[in-house]
Amino acid sequence: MVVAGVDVGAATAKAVILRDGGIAGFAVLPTGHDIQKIARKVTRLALAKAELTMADLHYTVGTGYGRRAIPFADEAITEITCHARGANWVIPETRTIIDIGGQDSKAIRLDARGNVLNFVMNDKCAAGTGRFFEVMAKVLQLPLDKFASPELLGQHPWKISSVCTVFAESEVVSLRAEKKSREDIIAGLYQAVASRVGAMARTIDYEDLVVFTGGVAKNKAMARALEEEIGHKIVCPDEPQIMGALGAALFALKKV
Amino acid sequence: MFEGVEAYRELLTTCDFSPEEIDNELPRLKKAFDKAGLTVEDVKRCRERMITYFEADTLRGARMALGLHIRAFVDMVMAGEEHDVRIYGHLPLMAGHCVLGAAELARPDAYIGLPDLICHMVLGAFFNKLDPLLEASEAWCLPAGLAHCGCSQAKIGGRLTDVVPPATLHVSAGNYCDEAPKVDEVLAYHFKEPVVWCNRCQDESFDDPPMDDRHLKYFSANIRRTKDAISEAVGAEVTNQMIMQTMMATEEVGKEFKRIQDYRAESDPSPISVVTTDMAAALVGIDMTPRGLSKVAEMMKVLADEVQDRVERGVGVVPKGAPRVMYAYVLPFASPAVGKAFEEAGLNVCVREGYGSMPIWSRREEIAKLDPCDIVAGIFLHNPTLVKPRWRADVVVLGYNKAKLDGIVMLPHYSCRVFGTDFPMMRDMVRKELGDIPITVLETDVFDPRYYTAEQARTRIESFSEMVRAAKASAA
Amino acid sequence: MVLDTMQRLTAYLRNRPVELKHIKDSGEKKIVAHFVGDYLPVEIIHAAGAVPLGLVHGGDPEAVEAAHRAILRYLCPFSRAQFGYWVLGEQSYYSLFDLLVAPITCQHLRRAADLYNVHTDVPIFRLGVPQPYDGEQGAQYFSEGLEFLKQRVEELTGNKVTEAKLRESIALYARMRDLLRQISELRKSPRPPITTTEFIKLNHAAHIADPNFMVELLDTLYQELRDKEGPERTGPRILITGPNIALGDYKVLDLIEECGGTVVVEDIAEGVIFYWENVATDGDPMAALVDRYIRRRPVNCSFMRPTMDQHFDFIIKLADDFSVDGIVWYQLRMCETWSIESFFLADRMKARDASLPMLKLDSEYDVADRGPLRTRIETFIETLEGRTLACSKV
Repeated sequence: MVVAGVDVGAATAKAVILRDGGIAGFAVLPTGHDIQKIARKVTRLALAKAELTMADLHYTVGTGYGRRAIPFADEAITEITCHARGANWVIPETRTIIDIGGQDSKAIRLDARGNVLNFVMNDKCAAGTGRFFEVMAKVLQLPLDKFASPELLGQHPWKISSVCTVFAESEVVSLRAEKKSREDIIAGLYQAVASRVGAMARTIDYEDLVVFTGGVAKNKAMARALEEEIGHKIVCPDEPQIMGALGAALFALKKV
Repeated sequence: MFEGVEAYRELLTTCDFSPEEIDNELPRLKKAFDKAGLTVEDVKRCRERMITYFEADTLRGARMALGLHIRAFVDMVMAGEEHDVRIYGHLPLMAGHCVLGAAELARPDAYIGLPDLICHMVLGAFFNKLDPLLEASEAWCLPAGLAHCGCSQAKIGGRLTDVVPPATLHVSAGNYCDEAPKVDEVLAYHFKEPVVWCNRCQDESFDDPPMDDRHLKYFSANIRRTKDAISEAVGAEVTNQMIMQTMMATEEVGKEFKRIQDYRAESDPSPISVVTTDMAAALVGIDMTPRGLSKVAEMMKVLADEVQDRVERGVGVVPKGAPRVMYAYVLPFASPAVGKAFEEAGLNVCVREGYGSMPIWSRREEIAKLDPCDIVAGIFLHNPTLVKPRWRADVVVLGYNKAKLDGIVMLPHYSCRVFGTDFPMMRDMVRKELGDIPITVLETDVFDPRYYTAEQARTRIESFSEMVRAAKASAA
Repeated sequence: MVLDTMQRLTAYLRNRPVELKHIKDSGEKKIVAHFVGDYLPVEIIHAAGAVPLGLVHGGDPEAVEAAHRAILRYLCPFSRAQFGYWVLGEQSYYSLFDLLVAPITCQHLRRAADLYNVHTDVPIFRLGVPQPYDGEQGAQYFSEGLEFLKQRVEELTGNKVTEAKLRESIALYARMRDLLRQISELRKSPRPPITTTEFIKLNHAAHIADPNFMVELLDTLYQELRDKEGPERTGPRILITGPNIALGDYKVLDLIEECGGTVVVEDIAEGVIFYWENVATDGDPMAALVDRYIRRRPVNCSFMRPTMDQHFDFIIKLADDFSVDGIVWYQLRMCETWSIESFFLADRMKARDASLPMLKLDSEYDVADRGPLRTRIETFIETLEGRTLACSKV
């Protein structure tokens, strides 16, 4: 029995293949502009890792903001429900999920069975999302992976506006002009995002265990800043980016 | 006649105008639409939206309601040429709207209307052309980014763009929020249009439900002053009897509307879209004169009969067995797609906040002896939704239990300091009573279609729907 | 010498929470806090033998953030902070009181009171504040409200508010207001002996300190300052106006000074509006309170209506009396009514013969808006200096 979960997000597309209840393969690709094409491509890639083809799929669930545009999906379920299910499968003790994706961030509270109890999403602006880091990395002239490395983190975080990507950008420019250390600015940026996301997530109340998912969760420095902000220990799954796709695949499994 | 006349005719046919009515109304309508900058393309799109969102293809009652809205809009735009006396109220529907409506009995040729609501329904919900009004107000005294109310922005914007003619008198609800009466002050200050403010003090206790006499007395004295100001503006006395007559006319509409609400609350599948229902209900605020209300009552009866017919045939707008949720309190006026998105996500949005609470006019015998201004004040002060969050929360709990619901959607409108800010408090209070039931506070802007779109809301709405289903399944 | 007096005040205020805590714990007196805005006759609270405590803190982004869970973000940051301080529990004034009096003025502060109702056990008294448009009927309503307030504080303290006591309290506060106004008017001088930041701190202290202490301190200060000249100032003289400048929200004041301007007078709720007019010390004391707080206000705040003509006339009078070169309108973001008024004041200023330039600023108490604010203020001061220069050349 082979099923797929395909998560087409704003920045990346993810696919997870389940065979007989276990992960047989997964793949992550940048989304680009053609949702249908990338959905197919990422699913094929994930299938290939398990030496399977599209013809082997019994059921596919689409999720993410492109969920309705996936031509071969049998069903669409939102990424919030899918994240909850995915995280619950990987870490059954999960009660709160903080997810920072490419263009949005969300916090979800769930029960022991992975059902969503409450959730909140960020407003439409980019503050507190992966996009924010992209912009800032560009301003600081650092490749994104370098930007995320813990050794570049200053000891004395410089306070940055937590309000708006555009203003934060001009602020960083002026801090650079004042010759503030890049490391401290980066630390400040992490703090700003943590405070933004932390405040948002606080509206649904934290409950242990807090799990951090989404592409930005790969960034250990961010996880640390978030831990400090919310005062709870945070756990990151090994592959935080594929929780949505995994959840979708788990829903697909229930259908067959 | 003029280019694209067929599109106009089609639109009016969709609005249940007869061929003769179309011939009679077309020149006026064209003139009004031109004045508002509405083009043939807009007219075509408007008709499509009426079918997409308001069931204009399947319900005659809906078509009649749409027609009444369009007529109200044309009347408002043309009022500058057609009426010597123009009296405006505004949203929130002030307690004195019966007093306002009664002015028609004292002076049948006066124009009486709510420009902000009319603009929101017609330019916003039907034409999706509210932006020019909002932008005009932002370029003037209600700048963007400071959470100015879109309702007030539409009124000021309408006035600046000449969609709304100058007023003889603004009747201002000083009994609710700060922004709308302040905007009326602007109209008085800048355009020299007279205003009467109908004030009350909001110092009632947070917890105890009854209003004491002091509040009522103060408020009804204000309503009396409003009545006098209106009498002066129309040059004839608005009598107590006229107010009573208007109240009765409102009640007629209320009776038919209650039938629809009951069907919606009790039938599975849900027989009529919440978006259509709200659109029809908005007419109570728009056509508040006895003459207008009698037409609204006629429409409401047709609609209620159609709904009854759908119930009998088992026809619905969402699948049978869909989770039942309450919405508090209104869906975005100018973006009907948001309301539609709930139904598209498989939710039966079956009752509105307030369901299950007793309207005060059910105690008719008792209040018939009172002074109408006292009654009007009493009706307002005993309406939980309008007065205080604790009371609102109590009523939500009552309705939730009574209608055996699966979840609650709260839609705080961005920029409304009164209505909007209630919701987080209500959520916290409702949770204390009902535990961890599915509640979502979905931030939208009821009066500004630009910042919150249905697409943005869709993920949240669908997630909520999935959450409600999961909760329902695990409870079963 | 002046420095000493100001330092004495700072030391007093540092110790004040401890002192209040002691008062509360010993049960010696009840503490009655209130939202500020000058619509509440604190004289009644004082006459009942309770300690009136004005909640004047603000400017702290953490307090705003702390209220985030409970309220949506389109309330003004000051109102959100009034509840946020309670949530944080770090600002001791917000956890000390036995009764909170909330004058129902604007929707923002009404919501702050509601939040205390929903989330705390603090007893709350709401005082209805009528609209000026309601005239005598409004004054009557307010007067009834004051009677209820009197009963409430009498019940709380077990003391009767006798006419004699009320007279005493009125006289005490009248003295305090007189002194504040006298000190305030010293700033008309070309070389003001006291900065507006210092002066606003006095206003804040007047809401927190014991009035007897305050009168004694202000008296000393006035004697010290009356014949003194401050440092020579060449920069433009600024009037600052807006809803309020909270204790801790000194960012804009500081920036104006840093950029070379001199703020010479403030038109804010805890400033001019608080001390400009006084309660009559003769006649029926309750009637005198109604008269001062409702009828004889120098300015009705913008959530009242109509207010614009009265408000702008007052600002222009202040600007003339204090020889002002420019106006800085500093308001809190999301305050809808002040935002509306600002547009028309700017309009009126442009239309005047001797037009006064006006700069509009707003803040959400964000630490980081300092940069953008500075740029605006600097440019404004430069423009004013350019004007003065151009005038002196003629």
